[in-house]
Amino acid sequence: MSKSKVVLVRSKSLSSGAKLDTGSARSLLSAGIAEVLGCDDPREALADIARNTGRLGLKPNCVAGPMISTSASLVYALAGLLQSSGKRDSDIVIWDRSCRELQSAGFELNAGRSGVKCFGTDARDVGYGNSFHVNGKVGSLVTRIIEDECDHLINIPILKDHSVAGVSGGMKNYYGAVHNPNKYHGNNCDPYVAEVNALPVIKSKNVLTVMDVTRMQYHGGPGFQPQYVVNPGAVLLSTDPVAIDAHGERIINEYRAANGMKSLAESGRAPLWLKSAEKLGLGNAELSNIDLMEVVID
Amino acid sequence: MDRRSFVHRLGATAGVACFGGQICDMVLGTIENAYAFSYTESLSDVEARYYKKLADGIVECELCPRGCRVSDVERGFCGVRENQKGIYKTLVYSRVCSMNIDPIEKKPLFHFHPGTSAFSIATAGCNVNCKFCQNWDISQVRPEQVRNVLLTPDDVVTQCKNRSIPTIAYTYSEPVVFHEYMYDTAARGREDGLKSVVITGGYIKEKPLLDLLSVVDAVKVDLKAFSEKYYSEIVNGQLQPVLDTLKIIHQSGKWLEIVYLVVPTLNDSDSEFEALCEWVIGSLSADVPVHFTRFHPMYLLTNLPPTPVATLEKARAIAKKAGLRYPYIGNVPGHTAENTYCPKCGQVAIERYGYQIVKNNIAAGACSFCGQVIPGVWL
Repeated sequence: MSKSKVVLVRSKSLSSGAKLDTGSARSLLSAGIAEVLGCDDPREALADIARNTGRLGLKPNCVAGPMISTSASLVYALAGLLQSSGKRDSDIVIWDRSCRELQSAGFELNAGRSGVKCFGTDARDVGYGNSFHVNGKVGSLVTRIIEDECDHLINIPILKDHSVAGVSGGMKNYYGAVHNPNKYHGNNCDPYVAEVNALPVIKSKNVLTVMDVTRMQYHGGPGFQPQYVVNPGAVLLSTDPVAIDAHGERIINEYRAANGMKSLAESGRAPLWLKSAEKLGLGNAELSNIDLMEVVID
Repeated sequence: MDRRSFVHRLGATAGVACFGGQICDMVLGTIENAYAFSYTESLSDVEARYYKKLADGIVECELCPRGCRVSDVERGFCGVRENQKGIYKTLVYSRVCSMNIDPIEKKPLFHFHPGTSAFSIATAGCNVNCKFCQNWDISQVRPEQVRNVLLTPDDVVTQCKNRSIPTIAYTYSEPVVFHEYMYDTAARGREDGLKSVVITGGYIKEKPLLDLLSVVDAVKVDLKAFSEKYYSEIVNGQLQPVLDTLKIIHQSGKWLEIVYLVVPTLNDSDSEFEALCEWVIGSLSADVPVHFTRFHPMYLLTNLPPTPVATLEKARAIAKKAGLRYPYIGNVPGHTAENTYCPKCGQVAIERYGYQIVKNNIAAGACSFCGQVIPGVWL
């Protein structure tokens, strides 16, 4: 497998404590998307995504409420950039497993015909599909939002420590797409995280991961524990879902070390599912096989 | 067909797949005026009874051998218990997703009040994940993915009393996961003279099991195989804790029956049948009824055929040869091995067809032909 690329865009002002708003989110995303797609002009990169993704689903992680979920500003900024690049607003759906969790994280529900859509799998007339998707130890129904509503997906998780999986980043975020995620936490979620992401209906549609690292939690997740939350003011982007989570693990471990904590591996919860994902051909798990491009703005 | 037969026929088909997506319509089965019950969208907010608190807001469930360690906002394997800021909550207390009036034979309990009915209830959730689950549409989902009726323990007792139903059955999904609700309902039922029976996989820790046995009258355990390999690969659980459960139930003196679902090629070898029977006789009693039941392709195990009847007959023959006195064949309506035979005179003590009693030749707990005592709980 050839080397993968992960782009880290960091905002000086955000890492210095400035609040993330639509403007700063757009700046982070524009720089990152151009870099990850190898374009000099961000408008060209965004237009490329807008043109080639059909009905596009944006998947934040809203499970832990307003304090440690994907920033709604970041997600709406991405939707806005894509609209500015020619994508119809009605071809964008922001979704998660439940409407309540979306609202709690600051999203505004919209199941109407106009505007960017936003709803959970539990919304009226949505639900899960009728057919089981089976892969290895995984057998699940998948949300109709993926099966029927979306041609492609952009995964927009927040980076968090996870008490079982080690890392809650992009790949773990797709637990929110299946009806029975509670069945997949044994053995530190290995190989379940990998096998959920390798389901053809997810693998074939997921085109990009944009990881919210403007704020993150390096211990005590996935619930909110403020003493372990930091504000790196960054986003990570990659078309390789494994590589970006591998760097997510690196970042979590760096903060843990800086705060005198054991690494995830030393704590008995190394994300072994990264290697399983690599074996399934989902991407590169070894940092030595990943080129990290760092961009600093403002 | 008389009304009773019609009701029983309905009961025989209730509880099967109804999952059409996000919402599973509750199986209302035979409950008259079923739509008088009100659905609720709220989940319960009742603290679980068997867990301990660990560091960083994590809890450890002490209900089943799985021992899930669950962080804030997460749920256990069962999907119906959630850590909410360090407090472990059951989400399904009084949230009933399936209810029916069933013949007790459907459980199956063949030696417990034959010919009576049981008010049968279930909530969503299960603490294992059998690939052949017949009720996966309620057991393998989270409670918000089914439609739930609010039915308190008092309500259950009222329903039974109003219909003159003598027994409450906790069944369909896995009642261990709604232990608090089951315990309170059984205890409440006792106050009004109602019996309670539990239909379970037996994957439960000793303390909650002993507590439960103090308020229920009979237990049917699904012993899904007699190998750890099968439990690991097909059930997503462990065999040994189930064997421990069986011993505890038997030692408690509560009535116990065992079902062994025979799945072609996976748990149907002669040696496994022999080992199972030897263990039941050696660790429990030759008087414990064992039902060898027929598998039908379902859920994640659709690549295998239904169990050949000949395989079930072979299992029963091995059981009889080993010395088990009450081996049955199940899920084969009309088979003569649905009947109870007196181990002394060989006469038909109870003749059955499917879930129905055709003739009951047991009087005062003994065979009416020869007087042999037949173990069980008889009217």
